Amino acid sequence: MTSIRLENISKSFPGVKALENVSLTIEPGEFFTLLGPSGCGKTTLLRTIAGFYQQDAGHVRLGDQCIDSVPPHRRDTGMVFQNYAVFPHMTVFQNVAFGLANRGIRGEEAREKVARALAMARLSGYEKRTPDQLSGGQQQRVGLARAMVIEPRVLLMDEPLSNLDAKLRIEMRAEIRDIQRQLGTTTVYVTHDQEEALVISDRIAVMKAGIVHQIGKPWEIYKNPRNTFVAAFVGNTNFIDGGVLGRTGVQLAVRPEELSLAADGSATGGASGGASPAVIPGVVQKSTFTGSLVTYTVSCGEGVTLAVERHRPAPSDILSAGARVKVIVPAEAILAFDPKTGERV
Amino acid sequence: MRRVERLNIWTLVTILGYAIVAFFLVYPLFNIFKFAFIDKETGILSLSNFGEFFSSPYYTVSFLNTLVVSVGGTLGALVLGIPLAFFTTRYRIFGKSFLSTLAVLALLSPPFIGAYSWIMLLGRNGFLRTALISIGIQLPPIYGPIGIILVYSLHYYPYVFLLASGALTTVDRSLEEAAENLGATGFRKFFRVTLPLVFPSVTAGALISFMMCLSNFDTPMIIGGNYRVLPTLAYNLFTSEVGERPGLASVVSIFLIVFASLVIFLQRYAAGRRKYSSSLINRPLVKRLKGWKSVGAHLVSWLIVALSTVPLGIVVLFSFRKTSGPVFHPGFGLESYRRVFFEVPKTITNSLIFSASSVVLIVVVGTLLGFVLARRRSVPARVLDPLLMIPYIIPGTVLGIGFIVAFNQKPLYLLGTGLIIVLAYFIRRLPYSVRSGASILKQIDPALEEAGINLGAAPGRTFRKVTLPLMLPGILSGAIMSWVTAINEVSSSILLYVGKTMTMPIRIYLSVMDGYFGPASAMSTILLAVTGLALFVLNRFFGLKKESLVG
Repeated sequence: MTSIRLENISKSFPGVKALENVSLTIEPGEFFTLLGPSGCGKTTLLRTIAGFYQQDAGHVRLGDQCIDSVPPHRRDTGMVFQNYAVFPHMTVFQNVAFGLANRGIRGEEAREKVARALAMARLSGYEKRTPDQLSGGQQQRVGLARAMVIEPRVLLMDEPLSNLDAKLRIEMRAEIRDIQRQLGTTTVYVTHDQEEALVISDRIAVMKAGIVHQIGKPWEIYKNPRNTFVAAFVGNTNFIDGGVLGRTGVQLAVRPEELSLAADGSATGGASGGASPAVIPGVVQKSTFTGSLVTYTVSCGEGVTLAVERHRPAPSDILSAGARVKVIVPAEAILAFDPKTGERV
Repeated sequence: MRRVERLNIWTLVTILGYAIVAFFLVYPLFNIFKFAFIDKETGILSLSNFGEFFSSPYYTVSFLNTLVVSVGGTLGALVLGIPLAFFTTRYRIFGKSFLSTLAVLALLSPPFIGAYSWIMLLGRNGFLRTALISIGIQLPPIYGPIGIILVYSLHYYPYVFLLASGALTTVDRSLEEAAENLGATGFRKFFRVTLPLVFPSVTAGALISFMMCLSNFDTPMIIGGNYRVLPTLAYNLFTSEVGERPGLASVVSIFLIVFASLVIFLQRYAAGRRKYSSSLINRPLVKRLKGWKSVGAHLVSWLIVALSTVPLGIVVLFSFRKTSGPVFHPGFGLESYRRVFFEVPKTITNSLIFSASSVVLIVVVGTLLGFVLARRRSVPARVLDPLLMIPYIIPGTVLGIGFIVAFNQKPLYLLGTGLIIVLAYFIRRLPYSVRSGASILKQIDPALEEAGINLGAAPGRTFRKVTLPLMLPGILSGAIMSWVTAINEVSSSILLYVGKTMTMPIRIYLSVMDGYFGPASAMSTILLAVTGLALFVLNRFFGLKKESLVG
């Protein structure tokens, strides 16, 4: 179990600053996710750890060792690639044994290790297949087995699931997490999928434009976004001008699941206890039913449109477009941001 | 409603295709087979010609010789082509595009120019050889297998280079990174991951080179000395003044066709194996090397290209040397050019007229047939497809022999005419032009044609108004390539020419054989200049796709 420390990493490509002064520490055994939109620098950071990019400034440490000048093939990191990068000219067995051979492990010992890794990746029996006989998901399992069989100090995963279909993605992310728990290997995981990040990670670093905006546990990131970017990128958020709720000079945000609806004219308040909730009258514009929940789009005038989620809706109380409602906004669910800087106030 | 197959222009084109195959391929080949399998004395079907071939070591040794020089030339092409491709695609090499242009020029120039240039350097009285002897280094003259292999390697390595570079730039970067991530670097990464990934393309390049070595005629003729290979043997047996042996020449021709078919078969097999090129999301990085590594990579790359272009430079240089008869004198002059322009101007006009006429034929017929093959999936069209590829496996020498035996009697008496040379150029180039015509078409959405027809234009009109304009750039660049190969053609025209239909490459060949290197150099320089000019035009106006050179 090895920690990773990134100290003031900066990296520019011609015309772009890919990373700006990034510092973070990943604890031994942690499943750490770099989350952000495309072009935010998350992959650059991962590739810097792998040694495929050399940072312009700053240091990368694995445990106590500074690896700035260690070439990629000696960094002892196991990387899983977005497009699998399974060697097409080798069988599954040869792919997985490749890293072992480079470490001088051959013969019976290699066979055992490969067998164990393949069993973990649920690929036993596929040893003699070639990659073109495998599905995308299976190829990615080979990529995973190949990376973990060498027992690297850290596992690096570059959007490993983004080329898979939605159902498989959900299945595989649970598997990856299970395997990582069993191995206990420190893992850095890159994704642009916020839901995936929330599900899979011990901690998340949210990045944008080469800057880390927030580091925290999934629920911290979700419940306490540090700025409007994090609030908007992770989960869904209603942004409301402060004036609507009588708080001028701030930008307010509230999650759709925190809001509830009451029929127009009914009594409100008291439902959530504590400070009395704000109430905004509005008209349902549309309702979107997605099985476990229904999402209402409520127009509240003055250009304010709110998304409101209701879980486990009963067929009888699904509102249709045109219904007049009151949106109930619990006071403690409201987050306030500085409209200029976007930072929390 | 029943669909009625109407007689439209495409049916006529298909018929034309069959006519071409029948008259210019099947008929000449049939004559070769007839000569080979019919006993000269008795006139009955027999294997006596084959028996005679195998009973004499004089003949059988050329079998082995052909294999030796073809394998040697191919290995040489691999040894030169692979490093050059690797260095120029993976590392930043100064003058990279200049190098690949020079390599292409070397490939398009006729091999015999390289051959006699090496004779001027390392032949019996070669300048380099005499210079080396004067400082005490004894080098054997370059005639024989070594010379042939040298010329082949330096001439055909661009095939390997172009195909391997193409593949190397489409290998997914992640694969090499994965190798590195798993602890493999340098040679290990190259031999375990990179090379296997481009292996199909390298094999294809090697097989094309092998094919070219196999059927090449002019190089062994010039630099081979007494070293006989199958194409030169066929030529000698067919034209020898001491008793022509068309039967034996036909036997040799059949061997050559069988050999070439085998190579094609292997090539198809290699091409059919899965290619590993990816969707190009992750193009390979081009690394900047430092220090001695950079010097080494530059040295190797430049040296390979220099070795293949130096012969061309030597020829240009010597064309401006003072000369009288076969002897060079110190100093420079335009004597050689004067002789070329005043003594054999007809050769130049012949070359221009023959190559231009053949290009017109190639473009018109190739485009029309290409269209038929690409768009019409009728049975006759599908059968025509492989038939039109036949010329690919017929060495020029064999086609020449076939044409002579086929067209030496009425009603198709064509011997001694320019037309027979034009037809030879046309047939030899046909597979390429048909293929390129078809592949250009495949990039054009058939819906465009359907729209044309839907709007009331007949198929022929739709082709002229919609398809043809879209195909034009591809057709023109194909035409230039065809012209370059036609104007440099030797191996069939050497059998088909008579005095009044002599072309530039043949004049060069004859001058070299007579030891008149001056005029030969002048004429070669003219050929090189027009080849270079064509290449420049291609590059400038159509964006030369180097991969297209390798079919």
